[in-house]
Formats: sequence, structure tokens, C-alpha cells
Amino acid sequence: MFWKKKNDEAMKEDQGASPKTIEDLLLQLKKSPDFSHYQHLSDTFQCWISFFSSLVNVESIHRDILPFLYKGNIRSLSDIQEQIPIEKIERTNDLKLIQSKLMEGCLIIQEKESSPKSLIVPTVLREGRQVQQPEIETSIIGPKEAFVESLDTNISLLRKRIPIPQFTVEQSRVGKVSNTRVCLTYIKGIANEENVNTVRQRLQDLEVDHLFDASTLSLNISDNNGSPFPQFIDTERPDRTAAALFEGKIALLIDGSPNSLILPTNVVEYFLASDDYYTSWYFATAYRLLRLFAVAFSVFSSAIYVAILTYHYQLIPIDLLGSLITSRSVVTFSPMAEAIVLELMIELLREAGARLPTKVGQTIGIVGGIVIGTASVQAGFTSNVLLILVAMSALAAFTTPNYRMASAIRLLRFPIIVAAQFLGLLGVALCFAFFVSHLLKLTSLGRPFIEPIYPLRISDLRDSFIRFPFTMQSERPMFLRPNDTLRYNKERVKQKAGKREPDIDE
Amino acid sequence: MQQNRINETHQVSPVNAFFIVTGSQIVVNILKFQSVVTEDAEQDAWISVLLMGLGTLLVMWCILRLLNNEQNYGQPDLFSIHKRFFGSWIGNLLNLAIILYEALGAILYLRAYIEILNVWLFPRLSPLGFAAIFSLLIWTVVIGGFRTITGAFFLNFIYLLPLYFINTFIFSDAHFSNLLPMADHSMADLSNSLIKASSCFLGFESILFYYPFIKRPKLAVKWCYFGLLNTTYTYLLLTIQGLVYFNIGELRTLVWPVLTFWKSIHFPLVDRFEYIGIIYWLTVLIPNVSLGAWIVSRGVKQIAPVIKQKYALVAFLLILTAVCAIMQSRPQIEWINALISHIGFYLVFVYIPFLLIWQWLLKIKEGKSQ
Repeated sequence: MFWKKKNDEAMKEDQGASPKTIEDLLLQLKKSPDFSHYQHLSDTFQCWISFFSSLVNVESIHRDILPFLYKGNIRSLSDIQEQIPIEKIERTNDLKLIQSKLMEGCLIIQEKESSPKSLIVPTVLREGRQVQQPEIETSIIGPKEAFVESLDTNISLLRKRIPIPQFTVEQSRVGKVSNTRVCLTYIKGIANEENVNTVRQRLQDLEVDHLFDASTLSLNISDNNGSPFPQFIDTERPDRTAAALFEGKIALLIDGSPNSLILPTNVVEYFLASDDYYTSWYFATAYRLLRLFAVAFSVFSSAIYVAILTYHYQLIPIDLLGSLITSRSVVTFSPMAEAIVLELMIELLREAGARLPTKVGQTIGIVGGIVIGTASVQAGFTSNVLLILVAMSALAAFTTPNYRMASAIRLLRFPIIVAAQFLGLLGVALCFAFFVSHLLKLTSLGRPFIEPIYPLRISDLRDSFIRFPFTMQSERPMFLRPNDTLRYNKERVKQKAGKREPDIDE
Repeated sequence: MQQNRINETHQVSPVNAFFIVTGSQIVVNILKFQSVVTEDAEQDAWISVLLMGLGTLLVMWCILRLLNNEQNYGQPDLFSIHKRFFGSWIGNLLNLAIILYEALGAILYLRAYIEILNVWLFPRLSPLGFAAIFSLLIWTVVIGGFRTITGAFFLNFIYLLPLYFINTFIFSDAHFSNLLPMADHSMADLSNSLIKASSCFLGFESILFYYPFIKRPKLAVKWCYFGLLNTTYTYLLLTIQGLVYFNIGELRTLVWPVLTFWKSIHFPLVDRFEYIGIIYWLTVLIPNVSLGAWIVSRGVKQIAPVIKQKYALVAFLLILTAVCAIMQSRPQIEWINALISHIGFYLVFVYIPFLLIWQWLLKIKEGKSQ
């Protein structure tokens, strides 16, 4: 094929552009102002030192590495390797390794400028953002740490929570150009090997040129790219990630992303907040059910309003009909136009709130919510009842703890509103059936997505709609097929709790 | 034999047999059930229903026995059984007949539902438009394979659970004296009612087609029986409910007594429950039409392996849409309904036992030849 050949040639040229010798490389890099390359001269020894001053912490180089080079007993590279109190110094001739290490912020020491024989000295990197409080998945109780952009910090956040040698971190590189570090983490012995292999395979097969965030990776390696629903959870909470690892899931950490990716997941997990595990199970269950109700409400409320007012006014009890008529009597639009206008308005507010700086965003929220809302009712654009419904459904949509799931749910209501206009409640039901049939087919890492519901797994239902007390959750989720299914020994819990008291005051 | 086996990733666990069996029995006809079954046996109709329920258990025993025996010879489904018993030619002819029966069944389900929609909800809803959208929905379900269809059956069961509680609304208006005098009808009346009730009990025989898709079929046996018992219980409850809520004369004038009963239920925000109920019935329709479409397309593939199942599915859905649009008048629908229930009755109570005997004869013949 002609075009393919052309492609191949382009690829060859591309490879040709990468430097072939160390001199080429240095020549290319010297053009950048942040690249330091100079000859070090002392009485006994001379060498060439190169590093990126923008990547490394220069202070630490001056303090920890350079002074040792001036010592009298240094005569060769191997002397340096022995003398500098830094671990993991490598000696290499490999140009590619030198190049990639240089780009990561290592220090390169050469004896001669033209020879690739060199030492690679790891350095302290410039520090990124400090570990801060979670901003997206806030919780009232529980740990207040969030992942940051630095991969090593993120791993340390996890290691602190999982202090066992079985906690495995496998590093791989993703992205043809960016070569981003991606770490596959799981607990050996708990996580299912098959799942781990699938993830490893998908990372290897991934064809992208760059990778910035966990959500991009999630979109790229998910089972069904065309689905509106996310199939892997991205979370900024280390405690949530660690909890998932303890369950036997797999977490992916991406360099430069303040989110980890948890996989595989099922649909119910998107509606669980970390607070649920830090409060008593009555409250946790109540709020969980509230959240699930909120999802149903936010998807269906305005569509049902449209359907009922357009076709099925017989459904409305006679006492309610009066107040509905009075609120609708001034409105000139059809229920569907009215609903679409209001929904769009709310979406606009949300989008503006997300894009604007925080301080301005709050003002916009107040202006939008109060001024536009009341004004549109008074102007006869919308009815009072619908305003309440839409505002409540917007609120309800934000109760979903996972942002990507929340946005999927918010967008779902538009097709349903349109369907309600055409076929009334039947349209709503048809649209719902379409989504359900899609969900039935959806898989996450090859595991069924709506798992505790279908295929029905009673034991997994214990931590889905209702959060049973921890003493009753002695098994890990079945859909993960964990190697070790038991969290702890159920019998021992019973023994420790002792027998029930035989009678009052005995 | 080995290559015939269904891949385990496409199979479903044994407990799902319960949901499929009971789900495929309770379809659109249930809405008419009370007036159909009480036509002859009147207040004693519940005896007929009970007998019919027991009859289905017997047939299920025959089916399971037939399929279980067949596992030794080849794939345990009706298409393969036909081919093995009667040779390729006659077997395929019988398969074609079975496909036609299943196709007509699926079409009838959809057409009957559209009729209800036309009468109760949208008088001007075009059958063509609705059937087209619905076919698209069926396509999305069936394309996911048997697991997805099973999922639809399972969800259908879950959705229907609240409707079991709706019956409690009946107590305030129930006249239990309507059930008296008991056992007042001749055997002829009872058996007439029994035959008429059979149209509502049909559907469970589709296990003949999806049996190879059940993991560890030995464990599924009890779930199949539980499914039938659940259906029998539902119909028994419905019969008694119809009898105590309406009187016989009223039942004769009603076409869909269940809907009329729902009409009397009021909720704080829902004044007419039958609207919700009819739309709810969509969830019953989806898995059943999907299963029909799946069986038909699978059958086509069994007869002519050249045709891929997905293309056969599309062809069937086009036919489904077209036929739904063509069938306009109520007498046509009634005629097909009567035809289907007659064929189904003989298929279940005569043909399946015959197949079991034939299998036994074949086994004896085989034993002699060895």
C-alpha cells in the first residue's frame, strides 16, 4: 500500500532525528538554556558534568555531589562511584539510557566529552506540590491526604498504608514520545493474577504519544471506549486506593497525575463515599441509599415532568393539578422547551463555575441560582414547579462522589427528556431500557460492570446498597476473584466477641 | 462433541434458570388471564390453574430428562435433537417449523403490547414506529449474547417484585363469597378452562433452546421447578384476586381485568396506576422478545451455518417490525393468538413426551445394534 509505505518512511525519518552519538546529543541539548554542561577540572582528575538545572535541585548537587569531586584521591570514574555517598550510581555506555536518565533529572559524569562511557548519578529532584487536602473527594471524617503530581510521593503515600513486602509496584513506560512512568500496584497474594496480567497487557498494547492524567489512561484502556460510563475509578484519595488494594483490586499510578486509577470496578462503587466507612453502618447505609435515590431523581425528574405534562396529565391527583395549572398558565413554552432551557441554564452555571476562578465562581453561583431563577419564573419562561425539580436534580447529581460518573449521569437526562417529549412515559422507559441493556453488556477489565446486581452475588451485596457492619464483611468482593477470599477469620471474630450474655445483669 | 460445547464465558449460573423460566411464562397474556380462565370454569377456575401448574411440572420433568439424556450424544438443544433423531432433512424441516412458531410468538408478544398501548395510552401510536424503536432495543440486547438476555430476565423479575405487593390493595374491596359454591363445575368446563389457561403458562419450553447455556445444568433442575411453581403461585393468586374483586358477569365484559384493577389503585402522586403498570410491562416484554429473537436467529444459524447469527437477527427484527405494522385489526391478533396457543399446547403436552419416547426407542435400537 502506498500510504503505508509513506508512513514507514516517515517513521524512519523520525528515528533518524534522534541523536546517534553522545556528541550529537550534547550538541542538541546545549541549545537549551537550562542545560548545564561543563568541564570539571581538579588537580588529579578532570571530567565533563552535565545535568538539567530545571529538573534537579541544584542546591543538593552543590552540597552532596560536587565537593567530593575535588577530593585528592579521586582519579577515575570508579573512584567517584565509590566515594560519593549516593546509592544506585550506574556505569554505562548505553546512549539511550544516558539520554532518558538525563531527561529524568540525573547527573551525568563523563571522562571525555566524546565518549559515551559515563556515570549516572541520581539526584534530588525539584519538589512539586506538597501533599494537600483532597479537594474533589472531600470527606468530613477520615484521612485528609491527597495524591500529588509526583509519582514517588504517591507511592510513598500508599506504602505507608500498606507496610508489607507483598505490596508490589511494577513500573512501565507509556507514551511513544512522553515515555511517562506508569506504576502498576497490587498486593501479591490477594489480587487476582489474571486481572494483573490483563492490565499489564493493556498497558503494553497502548498506543499513545503522551499521557498526562489517570483519566486519559482510563479512557484509553477501558473495555468499551464508546460508553458514557467510566469503567475505572480515578480517585485522589490514598486511603481509598489502599482500601481497594486490600480488597484485591489493582491501582495504577501515573507520573504527573494527582489521581490513581482503581480497576476493575462495578457500578455501585461509584456511589460510595469514603465517609461511608468511617461512620456507623446505619448512617452509612442511609446516606448511600440517599445518594442512589439522588441519582434516580436527577436522571428522571425533569423527564417525567415533561412526559406527564405533555401526555399523561391523568396521572396527576386532582388536588395537585390546580397548583400545577396555575404555575404553568403563564408559561408560553411547551414543557420540553421549558425543561431544556432550564437544564441548559443549570449546565451553563456549572460549567461557568468550573472554569472561573474560585472567588468569581461563587458570585456567579449566587447570581445564577437566585437572580436568573426567580427572574425566569417571573418572566414566564419556566414554571415554579419545574424550577424546583431542576434545581433539586442538579443538586442531586452532585451527590455522586465520582466526578466522571456524576457528569455521565447529568448528561444522561437530556436524551431521556427528548424521548419523553416523543413517547411520554413510554419514551422514558425505552430510554432507560437502552441504558440498562448497555450496562448489562458493559464489563470492567472483563468483569461484569453491574456485578452485585447481575450476576447476582449476595455476598457482594453486603457492601453495595447497604453497608453491613464490618464484622459481617469477612469476605473480599467476589467479582474480583481474589486469590485470598477471606479478609479475616470469621470464627475468630465470634470467639473474641464471646457468647451473648445469658440474662440481664449477669 | 468438544467443539460443540458452549464457552463458559457465555454461560450463566444455574440459579438464572429460575428467572428465565418464570419470566418467560409471565408475559402480555397475564393481563387478560383472569377473564380468559374464568370463561368456562367460573369460580372454580383456580382448580384448572392449579392442575395446569402441576401439568407444567410434569412437562418440565420430561424436558429436563430429554435434555439431560441428550448430553451424551451431542449438544442438548432442540435443534440438534431434531437433527439427530430424524436426520438432516426432516430435522431441519422441523427446526424451520419450530423457528416459525417462536418467531410468531415473539411477534405476537410485541403486537399484543402495542394493542394495549393503543387502547390505554396512545390511541395514535403507530405500530411501525414503536416496533422499529423496540427492534433496535432488542438488537442491543441480543447482540450482547445470552448472558445479556438472562440479565434482562433477572432485572425483569426484580422490577416485578413490587407488583406482588400491589395485590394487597384488593383486601378492602374483596368479596370472598364470590368463590362459593366451590367445585360446582363439570370436568368438561374445568378442562376447557385448563386449555385456555395453557396459553399463559407457555414459554417455559424455551429451555429446550438455552439449556446448553446453563452452567452445571444438574444444579439448575430445582430452579426450573421453582420457576414453574412461582408462576403457578402467581397465576393462582391472580385468579383468586380476579374472582374476589370482580363478579363473573363483570369479568366477561373486561378484556384486561388486571389493568381495570390497577385503575382503582391510587397513590399520593400517581392517580392512575395502570399507566405506570402498562409502561412497567415494557420490562417484561424486552427479555421475552429478545429470547424469541435469539432463538430464531440461533435456529437459522443451526439450519444454515453459512448465515451468521447477527445477520439472521437483523433479518428477523426487520420481519418483526414489518409484521407488526401489517397486523392492524384485532381479529387478526386474536386469530394468531389462538393459533399459537393451540400449537404451543400440543407442542408442550404431546410433542415433548413423544420426543422423550423416541429418544428411548433410539437408545434401545442402539443397544441392539451393538
